[in-house]
This record gives sequence, structure tokens and C-alpha cells, in this order.
Amino acid sequence: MLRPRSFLPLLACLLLATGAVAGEPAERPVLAAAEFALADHAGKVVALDFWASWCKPCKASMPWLSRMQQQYGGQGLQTVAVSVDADEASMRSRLGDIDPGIIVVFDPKGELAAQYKLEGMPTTYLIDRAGKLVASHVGYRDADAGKREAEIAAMLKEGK
Amino acid sequence: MRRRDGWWLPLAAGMALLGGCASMGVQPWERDVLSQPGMTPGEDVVLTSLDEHIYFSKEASTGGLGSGGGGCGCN
Repeated sequence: MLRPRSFLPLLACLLLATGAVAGEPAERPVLAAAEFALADHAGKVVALDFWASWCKPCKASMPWLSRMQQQYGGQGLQTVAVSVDADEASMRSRLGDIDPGIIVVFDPKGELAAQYKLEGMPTTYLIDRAGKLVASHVGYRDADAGKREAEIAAMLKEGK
Repeated sequence: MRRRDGWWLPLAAGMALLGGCASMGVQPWERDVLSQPGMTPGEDVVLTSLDEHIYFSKEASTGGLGSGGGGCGCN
């Protein structure tokens, strides 16, 4: 009969093997505020969203933003999620909620936020293909999601 | 009558006092620490939450006393 202790070396080998194959997950790339330039996305409709890990409505808006990127990314939408968290660890703790197609920017000093004169958290700015600011939405409510989606869809059709 | 030197000093001090509080506003992106529950004034947590509940209900202003998720859907 096998004793429970005899399984220990086998278990250790299995754990080591799993670690060797899977390894550490690659850290998601995050741009510094100074590295972000709107001009890099010329010709695309940009949804520039300001969020933070401590902001509850921001958390509620993330699934919607992720869905927008998945659904309209192929049609020319680029969502940019600018985190204004003061520390990077807090920001990184929420990256799992954000679609991989969304560009994440870390703005701990609020440089971009000040540039855009943010009025509340979250705020989403919609910028058309020509780089012109078309709309800004403060806050997130599920009830308005459909209206905003229609706005994005209309912007994507323009200037194609 | 001879005009006294330094007549402008009280005026400058007054202007400095008035202007001293001109930029005390916390920006929306700076509310990290302020948005933590511990920053809500009041010694008794239960009493404060009951008071807030009554206030919200009366004023139809959920979130109006510091918690997130108010009518605007913003912090």
C-alpha cells in the first residue's frame, strides 16, 4: 500500500514541472504619461478614458469599455485607459478587468488629467479620426451605455 | 501732511490672506486617499451610516456624502 508520504516527491516534481512550463505571466505593457501621444492614433476614433483603482464607477465602466474595444476595434476604435492611481501596484491590480486591446497609460501625477481639465472620475473623451475632441462624458451609468455606443458607432462611420 | 511709508503693507497682507485659500480645491484625480472610508468624518461608523442613510433618503441624493456612485455615476 502506498503511504501518503511517498506522494510528496511526486507532488514536488509536478509543481516544479508546471512552473517551468507556465512560468511567470508576462507583465502587461503600460505607457508612461509622457510616452502617450494622441497623434500616434491619427485616423482612428479614440476613446480616452480616465480611471483609478479607488473609483467605483470606473470599475463599473470597464466591462463596457472592454466590450467596445472588442466589438469596434476592428472598425478603427482605439480605447486608451489612463490610470491616475498614485501607485503602480494599485493600478496593476485592476489590469485583469481591462481588455488586452486597450492601451493602458499610467499618469500618477495627473499630467494628462490636468491637460484635459478632468471634471470627475471616470471621464471618457471621444476623439474623431481627425483628432478633434467630439464629446466628453463624466461618470458612467449603465442606462447611458447604449447612447454612448451609438455615438461611437456613428463616429466610426464618419470619415472612413 | 506727510504720507507714511509702508502704507501698502496691510493691503498686501490682506490680499495675501484672501488669495491664500484660492487654490485649495482637490482635483478629481487626486481623491485617492480622500475616497477611503476612513476619511469620512464621524467617530461612530454605524451612527454615521444611519445618519447618511436618512439624509440620502430625504434628499434623494445617494452618494451625496462622500461615497462613490452618486447620481452622476462619478466619484
